[in-house]
Amino acid sequence: MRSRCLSRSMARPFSVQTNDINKREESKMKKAIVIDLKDNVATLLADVDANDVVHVMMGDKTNETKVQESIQFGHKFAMKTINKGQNVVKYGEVIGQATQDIGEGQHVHVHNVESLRGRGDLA
Amino acid sequence: MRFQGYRRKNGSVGVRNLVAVIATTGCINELPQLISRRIPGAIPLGHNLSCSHLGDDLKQSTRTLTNLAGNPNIFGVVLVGMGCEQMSPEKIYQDIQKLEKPVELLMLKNVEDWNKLVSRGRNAAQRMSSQASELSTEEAQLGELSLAIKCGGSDTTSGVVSNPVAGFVADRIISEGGTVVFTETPEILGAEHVLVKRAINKNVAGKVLEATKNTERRIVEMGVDLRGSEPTPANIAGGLTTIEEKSLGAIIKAGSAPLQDVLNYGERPSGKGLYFMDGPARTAELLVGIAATGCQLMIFSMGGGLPSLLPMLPAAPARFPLMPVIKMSGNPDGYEKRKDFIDIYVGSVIEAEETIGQAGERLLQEMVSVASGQKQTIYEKGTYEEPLLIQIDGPSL
Repeated sequence: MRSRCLSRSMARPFSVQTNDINKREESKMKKAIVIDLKDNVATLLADVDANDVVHVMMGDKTNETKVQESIQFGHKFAMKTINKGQNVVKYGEVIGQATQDIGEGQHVHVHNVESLRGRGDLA
Repeated sequence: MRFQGYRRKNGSVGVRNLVAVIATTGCINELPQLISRRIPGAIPLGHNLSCSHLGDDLKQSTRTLTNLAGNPNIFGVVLVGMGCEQMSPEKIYQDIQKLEKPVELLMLKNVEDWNKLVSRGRNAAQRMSSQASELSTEEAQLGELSLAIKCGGSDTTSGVVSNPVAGFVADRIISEGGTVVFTETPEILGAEHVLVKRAINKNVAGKVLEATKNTERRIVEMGVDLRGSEPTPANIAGGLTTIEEKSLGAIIKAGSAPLQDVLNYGERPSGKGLYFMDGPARTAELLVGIAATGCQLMIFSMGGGLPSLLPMLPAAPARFPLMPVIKMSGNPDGYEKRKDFIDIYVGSVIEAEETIGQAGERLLQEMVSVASGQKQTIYEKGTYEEPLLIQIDGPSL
């Protein structure tokens, strides 16, 4: 009798709580944005850890991508493999060139991308 | 949408009602300070120019000072000179008269006494201040605004949020018949092809390419690599990888209107619409040049990181009295740390609580409040002052 009572009284709040957690988890889902559909990088709108699954907004669509390392808010990761020498594309335009192979979900920044402007060593 | 402004004789509308006390040479920067002290609305405008500059630099600084005096926010001008400087005080005086602005010229050459110069200057400033205070505001159209837009302390939120919001406002001002001026030639490198496509003709497209080519050539001629300083270390910490990425994000702040022309530093546009001023990204010099094009107010689109923790603007720590600057940020972290340093926050777009358009409408409202004098921006409330920095291209002798 006592245990039934307890279980009933606990059950309702508990289930409500679970829904709340689900909702909260969804809104707390780490997000990133792809600005132009031609882009091969996404910009993070949250700090992420290795193996986090990130909601990537691309126009009207969203996509889920797993990041391979911990990356800061505002930094970029590769949406697909970018080989050494290939262009890195954001805003639908070339923002630089990969200096090494970059795997999907890896951090894309000054350690593996170089600018093509204002250098003097390029035509 | 309308605002309350001060209509000038030449038809332009000021959002502030100032008396500018301008030195024609940096040798006497103390004079504008002494003359304007405690006179309501009087602002001291000393600067970095003296008899140490050549050719085009002299032309550029003469044009800049004249056009600063022409800014609609200025009611009248007290011009103080020595009479032996390279820039001609008489020429600047005549050019300001042509802009139909009250102006008085006082020169050490004629008075030959520092104290007399101060007291005559103060009398003139006091007279103008009284005349200015008799002027009341009247309703003006949004299209009578000339808006300056600059981004600074940029990070990746600039290109995603705050620059698109600024761009929304730029498009609106232009569709209402107004003018928008943006600048920072080093920060269109890698994005010039986008601006070239928007130029109204081949001549303007050519000017865009020439401006970026010259900047890139000068960098390479110094034997250095732009990668050492653009993006800046703070930009890189914020996630910006290359100058191309920074530039492509930066030009979004100017909206999507056709590009009417490329202006020289401190040059006034000949018409309405979108203009690019070939000029530096460094805020202190930029503020002077863009105020001289006639902009009544500025939107400063701010990223996060350490620059967002400054009370004033990065690379411009002193108050710039000529035009109100609205600081806008889209970076939640920077805003959380110093809410009191940001005039308008648009990071709500990142949280998907607001669209770019809704944030843009809020920014428009903010602009109207600031333009109508109902609100002072954080930057206007600064107390630290420095002489103006006018851009110099050639050697200092």
